[in-house]
Amino acid sequence: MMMTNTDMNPSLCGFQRLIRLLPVLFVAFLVLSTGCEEAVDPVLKTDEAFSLYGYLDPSSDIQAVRVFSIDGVLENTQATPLDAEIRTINQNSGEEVVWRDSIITYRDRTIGHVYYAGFRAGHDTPYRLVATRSDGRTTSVDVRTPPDGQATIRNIYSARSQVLVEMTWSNVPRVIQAEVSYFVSVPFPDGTDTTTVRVDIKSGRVSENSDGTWSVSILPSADIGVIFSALQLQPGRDTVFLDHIEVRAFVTSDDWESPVGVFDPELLVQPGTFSNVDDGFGFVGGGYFDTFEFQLANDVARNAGFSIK
Amino acid sequence: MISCRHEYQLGKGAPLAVAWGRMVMLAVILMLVVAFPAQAQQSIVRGTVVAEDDGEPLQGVNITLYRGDVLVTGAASGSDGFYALASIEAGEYTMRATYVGFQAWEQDLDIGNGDRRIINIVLAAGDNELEEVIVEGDSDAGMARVLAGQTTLRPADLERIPSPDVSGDLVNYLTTVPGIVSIGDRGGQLFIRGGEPWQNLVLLDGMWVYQPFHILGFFSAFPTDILQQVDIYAGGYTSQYGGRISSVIDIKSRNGDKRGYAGSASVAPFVSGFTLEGPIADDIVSFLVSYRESVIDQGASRLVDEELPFEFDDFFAKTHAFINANTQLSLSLLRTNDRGSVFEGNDLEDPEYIDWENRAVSARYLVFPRAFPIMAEFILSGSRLKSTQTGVTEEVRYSKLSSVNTTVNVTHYHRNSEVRWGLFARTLELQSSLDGLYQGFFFRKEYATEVGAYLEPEFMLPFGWQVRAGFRIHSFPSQDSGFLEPRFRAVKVRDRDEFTLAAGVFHQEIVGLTDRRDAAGVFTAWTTSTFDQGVPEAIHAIAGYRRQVNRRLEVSLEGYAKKLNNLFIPEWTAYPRFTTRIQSAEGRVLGGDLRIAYRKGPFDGFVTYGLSNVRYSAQQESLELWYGTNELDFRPAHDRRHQINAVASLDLKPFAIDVRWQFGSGLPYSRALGFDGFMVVDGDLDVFSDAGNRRVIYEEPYNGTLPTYHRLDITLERTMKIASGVNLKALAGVINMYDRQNLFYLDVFTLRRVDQLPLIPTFGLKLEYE
Repeated sequence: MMMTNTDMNPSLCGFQRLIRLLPVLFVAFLVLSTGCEEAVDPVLKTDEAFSLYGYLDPSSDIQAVRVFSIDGVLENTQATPLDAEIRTINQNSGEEVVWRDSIITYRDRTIGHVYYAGFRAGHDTPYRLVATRSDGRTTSVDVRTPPDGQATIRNIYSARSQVLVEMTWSNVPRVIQAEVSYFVSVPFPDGTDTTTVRVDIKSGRVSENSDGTWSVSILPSADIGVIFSALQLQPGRDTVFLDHIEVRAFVTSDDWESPVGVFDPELLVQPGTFSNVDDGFGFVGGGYFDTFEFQLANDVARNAGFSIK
Repeated sequence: MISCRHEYQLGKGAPLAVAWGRMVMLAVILMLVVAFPAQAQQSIVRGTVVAEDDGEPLQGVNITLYRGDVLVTGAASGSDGFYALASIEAGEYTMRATYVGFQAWEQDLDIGNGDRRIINIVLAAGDNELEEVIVEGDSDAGMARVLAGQTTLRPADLERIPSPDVSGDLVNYLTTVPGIVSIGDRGGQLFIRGGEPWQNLVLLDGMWVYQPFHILGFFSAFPTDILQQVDIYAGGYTSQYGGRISSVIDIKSRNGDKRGYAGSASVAPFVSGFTLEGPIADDIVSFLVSYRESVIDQGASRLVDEELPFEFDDFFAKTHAFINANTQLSLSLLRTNDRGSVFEGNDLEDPEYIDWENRAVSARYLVFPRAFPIMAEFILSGSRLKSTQTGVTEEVRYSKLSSVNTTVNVTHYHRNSEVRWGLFARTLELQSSLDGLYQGFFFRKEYATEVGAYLEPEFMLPFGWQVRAGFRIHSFPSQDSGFLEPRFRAVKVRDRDEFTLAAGVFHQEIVGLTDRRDAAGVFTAWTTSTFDQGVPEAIHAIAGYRRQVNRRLEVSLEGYAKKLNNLFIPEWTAYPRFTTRIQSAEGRVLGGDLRIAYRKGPFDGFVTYGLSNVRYSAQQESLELWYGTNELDFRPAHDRRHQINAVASLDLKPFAIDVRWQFGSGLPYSRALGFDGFMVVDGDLDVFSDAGNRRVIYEEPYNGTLPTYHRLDITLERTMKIASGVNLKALAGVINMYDRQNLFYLDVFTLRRVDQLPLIPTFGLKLEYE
């Protein structure tokens, strides 16, 4: 006798009932789901109010920081006043300075807010910079400006085509970069006179010494090639006389340190990666360029590749 | 020497090429040894089965050989209608061929020792075709007939899916298959079981089609009218296929009518086109031509009163010939063009227009030699994809991929088993101009070569397991690399139950670079995987179960796992721009499919549910700095966790109603906390002259989930006979019937959302001539 499906397996009976119920369940699901229009809110909002970038410069009479408001929509900044009041408080003296907004149109035609104040920050002085929105939300950052450093030449190594000058900056928390300017004299083509030219090279190498001081090294014998190239001169044919060298070390507050050792924008762009701002993002430090000038002795200048008068 | 990653390390340069040459030669010898066991004086009967009315080959025809009433052996015809009955002893037999909808065929045979017979069978349509009972198990196609990741489709399956066009399209069916995720109405990208679009291999008559889905998601380069059969391998595919790590879609086109001319012309709001076919030499040579072109500007855009910036067209031509009793030759040509705007721009970025064109040709030669029980397939094809992505004024990115492919596939027929082996060689030219956005390269031109072989015997194991286990040697001489890829598929049928298993290792040397930050990226730049992290690799494992509950109801359940190594994914950045800097990642995919098919009388329908869990583990160097971890585990943008499709078709002659409802849970995306600006604060900072950059303050990547997606489509179709051999098919329907606002694209920078198509009434007319 032929068996029916139900005869074959009693458990199928229940299974088939369930299958028959599926259309009903499906319709119910359809009715329920069609009533739900879901909105999507891709921006969660944040309590942070501003992002601040810049530094207090004890060597300048104007202090300035760039201020970005943290918005819920990404759009280009408009040329309208920013809802922000910026002020600094000298934590030692209690002196308070209110900063002014300036609307800058940059070369790429974007617009930005730069707040500035006309005062000279003191060396080794703690400041609090506070940005306040009209709803009372604030972003703040504590900055200690670096002390006035002292630079000395520690060593000059000189051999034919090999000249290394080592300088030491003492009494500074940190040096993060150094630039070198060579002031050179170049004869006119007819040889009647010379003209002085400044060539800037970002060739200074910075390192921290074990005693807490900072070394800045330059290699004039290597930089001479860049100088000839910049002046479109030819070594061996043309002459370049060295007047003096100016080294500018950027001295900063102690917290001005990239977590990756270099200031790579692709790495530091992640919010919070390099930030000292409370209730906001960005970085505001204390720093200044400390300039040190010196001249090389004739034999050293000759070894570096310069001509001697 | 084989490393644990199945990679040969045989040296560099020329010595490597020599070593690989030897390796392939050894493999060929091994194949011949395995494939030619002693056959004694036993006989072979082979041939092709075609339909009487149009000469099209019939697949799945049951061919049996009886001695008296005793069944001696049997086989089913393959995709080209080819069958073979091997290892037959001398004697008198009755040979029968049966196929649903056709009259049974029978012939007496007197077979001598060592006979090599070629018997080509012509089946006539049955008089009782409409009343014939469909015997479950006779069909190997349909939604619930999943066989370890493999789903086989026939044109009739595709016609049941509601479509805005009066003719069906393959892509509409694909998006009902659980595990296949479509991003939406536009873009033409399919993610299959966790894989990305560039990891899918799409073949049409042996031609590689690199970007086959049109920019409007309802259409592909494959209208139903040209299709004979489609095999979708969502994973665990056989040794015959390689060079892709996610899936294979192998499409066979029809040959065209060899008995009489037929054709159709259709108009609809999205696309209009025509098909023409007929004999060039009766019963010997036929042709098939199909052309479609979008008419969205004149049609659908006006219906919804919304600009739909999409244009596309496709052209397919084929000619097929029975050169003699045991050889066939076909030539195919495909051309597609797409153009449109997927990203429509925002305040900071201009809209981007993408266009791409596929060009492909192939020659396919089939032979079953009289002397051997084999069928050999030779394919020579060439394919080219050109893509450009342009801004408002100038060309930004450009990519071109050209390849010439040669393939030989050989099947040896034994009494109860087959042995398949093959050889392949490909040469590729890859050219990109990418504006420095991909790994910093601007212009790149590369040449690559792939050669290899595979061997895959089929045999029976104890407890009724039918196993196909083999390996593929896939060598990239130009890249000094090569791989040994084991493959395994097994089936066990017990009464109404079918158990399936599949596993395999897959590599992909040619990779596609796409901005996948929001899964809507369409432009793909092809290059060799020359980056440090190695060649992308996938390991698949699939286990399935199917039960024929009764004559009407069929249920299948399948689980799968994929391990993905050496993936390329975009680096994260807080800059509000589309990054194409690449980082390495690992991935894993876990999922399962449930398919229930039911048919009774005029009703035919199925419900599918797909569960998927895709995780990527990124290894960007800066993760330690940003998130305090070396690796970041996240859901990629195409991880659709739940997916439901319900399709119902009611054939109330002369009307037919097709209904489809789709549901997909929300895709992951990266939420923002807000937007500010960024400046590098070093000694060079001058806030009065440095403009800085805008910045997105993101949460951790892909922590958010977009809204769910669901849509109901309904079409009503009526076929009217207006003259002898001339039918008019009329279609009316509604796409997105309850006007669901499904999100296609969310611009997190501007909060602007781009929705998928709203409610669209559709209609169409198709005139068919037979």
